[in-house]
Amino acid sequence: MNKLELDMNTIMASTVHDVKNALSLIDDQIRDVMAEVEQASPEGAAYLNRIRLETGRINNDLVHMLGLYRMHHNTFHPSFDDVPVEEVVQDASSRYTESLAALGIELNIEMEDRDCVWYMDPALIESVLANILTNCIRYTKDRVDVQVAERDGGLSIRVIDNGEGYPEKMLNFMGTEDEQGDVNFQTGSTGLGLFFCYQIASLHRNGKQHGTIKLSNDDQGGASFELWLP
Amino acid sequence: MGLDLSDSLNKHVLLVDDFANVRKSIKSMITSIGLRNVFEAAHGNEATRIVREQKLDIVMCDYNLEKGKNGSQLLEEWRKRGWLSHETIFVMITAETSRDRVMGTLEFQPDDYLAKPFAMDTLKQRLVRWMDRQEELRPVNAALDKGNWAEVAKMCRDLIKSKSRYRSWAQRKYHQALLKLDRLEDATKFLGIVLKEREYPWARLEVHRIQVARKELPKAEKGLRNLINKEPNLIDAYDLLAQVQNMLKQPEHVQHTLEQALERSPLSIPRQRSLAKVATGNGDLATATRAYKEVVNLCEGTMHDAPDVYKDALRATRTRMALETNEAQRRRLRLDAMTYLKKLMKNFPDDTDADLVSRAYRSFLNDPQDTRARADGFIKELAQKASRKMEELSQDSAVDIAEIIYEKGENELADELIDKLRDYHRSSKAFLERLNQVQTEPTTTAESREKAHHMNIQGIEHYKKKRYTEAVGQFEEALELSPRHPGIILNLVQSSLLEVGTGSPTKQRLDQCVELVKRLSYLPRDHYQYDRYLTIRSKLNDLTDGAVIAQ
Repeated sequence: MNKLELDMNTIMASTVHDVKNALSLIDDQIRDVMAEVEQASPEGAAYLNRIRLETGRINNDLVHMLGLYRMHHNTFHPSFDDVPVEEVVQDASSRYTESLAALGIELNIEMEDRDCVWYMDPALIESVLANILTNCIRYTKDRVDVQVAERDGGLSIRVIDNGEGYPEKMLNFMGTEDEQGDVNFQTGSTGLGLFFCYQIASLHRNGKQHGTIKLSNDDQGGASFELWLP
Repeated sequence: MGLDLSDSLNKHVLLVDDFANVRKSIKSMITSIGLRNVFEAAHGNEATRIVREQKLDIVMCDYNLEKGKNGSQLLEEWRKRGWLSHETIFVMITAETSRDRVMGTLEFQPDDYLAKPFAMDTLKQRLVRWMDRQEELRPVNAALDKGNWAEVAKMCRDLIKSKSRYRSWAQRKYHQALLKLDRLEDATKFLGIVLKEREYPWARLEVHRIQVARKELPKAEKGLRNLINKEPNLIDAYDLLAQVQNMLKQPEHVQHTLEQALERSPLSIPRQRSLAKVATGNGDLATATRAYKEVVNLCEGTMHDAPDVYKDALRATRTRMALETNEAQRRRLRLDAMTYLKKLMKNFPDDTDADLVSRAYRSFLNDPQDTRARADGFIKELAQKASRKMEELSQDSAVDIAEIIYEKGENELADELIDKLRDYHRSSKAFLERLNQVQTEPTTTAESREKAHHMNIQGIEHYKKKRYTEAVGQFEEALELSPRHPGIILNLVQSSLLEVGTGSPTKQRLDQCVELVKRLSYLPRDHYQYDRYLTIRSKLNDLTDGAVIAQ
């Protein structure tokens, strides 16, 4: 690694770190204001809640940017371990406890085996799930389901909402450029997020298999995101 | 798992962070959750005191502490000294973005990480999680505290069988217990089962550890290289590989492996010291002095802070100064040495050995401001003190002091000291040989020694072919580099006496020979050149009517 690249790496990391700290401060303060105005103006509180979700989104985008930058420059070092899946799912969803409550969205976590342990980088998988959850919160009607189960010899984590479902073009996000249409995952925030999720999933390997993600629309119409890890 | 904390409200928590406002905000979160017993520590010493006095359930420790210290050093010391019960959950609080760079490579892994800033909900959830873990693993941790490995093995096997969510932790502890119990067969079988499930890097590493224990070194070496290739961040693998290469007597490879590990995880003091040591042996003094500088920077205030750190650093720096021709570089090295010397004196004022070594280095460094060290008699006093305190002087320190006294040109004082050391350590053959080496070539660097050796051999070639004039020339040059070397001196005298052929040597030539042979008056009786020395001395005495006075 040459000197310039090393510096760029540090600059990226420090900037992201700094902006994240600022965001967290903003988030804390909005939360305090929300608590104050909740009684007097429920509408105002709802607006503030939207702002909080946006800070969460900026946060995720920064993590994606830094992660992808590091992957591109081979300075990305995932650290895999066997971890309790429930803890990872909880860590991802606990970021949104208040937002979910404020928007009246019900979150259900369903685990086939609560003591299920899987081999992964817990921080990365947490950020993938957090990323998907922000999307769900924006597009769902009033419910998000997380289902964890073993499937095809791997671990399947599905995040399902009861909104309008993914647009047709997005379902083919892994297809050719024509099929992808506007959501070519090299462009746009949603695309970048999915690209990041896909990259993270495929870093998880076992023998010849590697992890993947799959978008579909649920039978009841909502959007379904599945992360599968070998 | 619910968020019911009511059973846990009387748990004891310790918060370690050097910022008072950070401690305040975390403490207010913890107390608002309902836990009442929260201790705070602003720095390492305070934290250590509390850890030793209180029975704690949870320690939440910031990674970055005061003056470049970090939470990992505290954890290491507490675990190594047995001050922190295994029942206590240790949580490292980190800045999120530094986690993958620093944390993954730490030798002493905490039970959990918490990225800051964190929200109340996150903390609440984690507290429940830590207490659940503490509860379920309590019996195993109690057995670990007692060092009862049979018990650990039994309980971990149960955790694995019952598919506990802590089974991957239990697998590692089970394996560790089997090693402690010397059940290598069982450990190998167990690792086989684990690896069948998935190619776990930790399990593969342990397979190689067992190979090392069984002295299957080439196999282990090859396997570890492969593993490092696939998992370049598995730091433990480098340390094991360095160990194997050391056993295979490949010091250059050891150095390379340690350097690779340090590139990824530079904060390990024992590893930096190993590198410094092996680099010194390899004659790579630039690497050695750099590594010692790191060690000194890292170790202050940690459990690794000891006089040896500074003495080793001073020795390497002194050796390198002798070789360094670049004046600016020499000045920098000298400044480093001054820093090490000051720290040695400040940190260990009551250590006799450190005191004597410091005096030697004060004299060596010759600081204009240190008038005491420049005064007459300072070296003499040092030599006498060292002779009196022989029992408190380590062998390395004794050699340092003797070398510096020679360096200062006080050969007689140094020879006296060496005689006393020889007497005191007469039962240690290896040390006696080292003393001989110091005495014969005290101020000679390894490089000059090598050159002198080479010239000496060429001189002997000339001598064998009876080309005495050429031989004398070679021996004289060799002696410039290594002025007290008995072999070279005797070769020179012998060729000088033969150079004139059958005629008798001139007065001038004889005087020169007498002077040379007198240089060897220190030669101990058990030196391999001693008999030859006696022969040549008596011959010279015959030629000069006893100019070389018999001892």
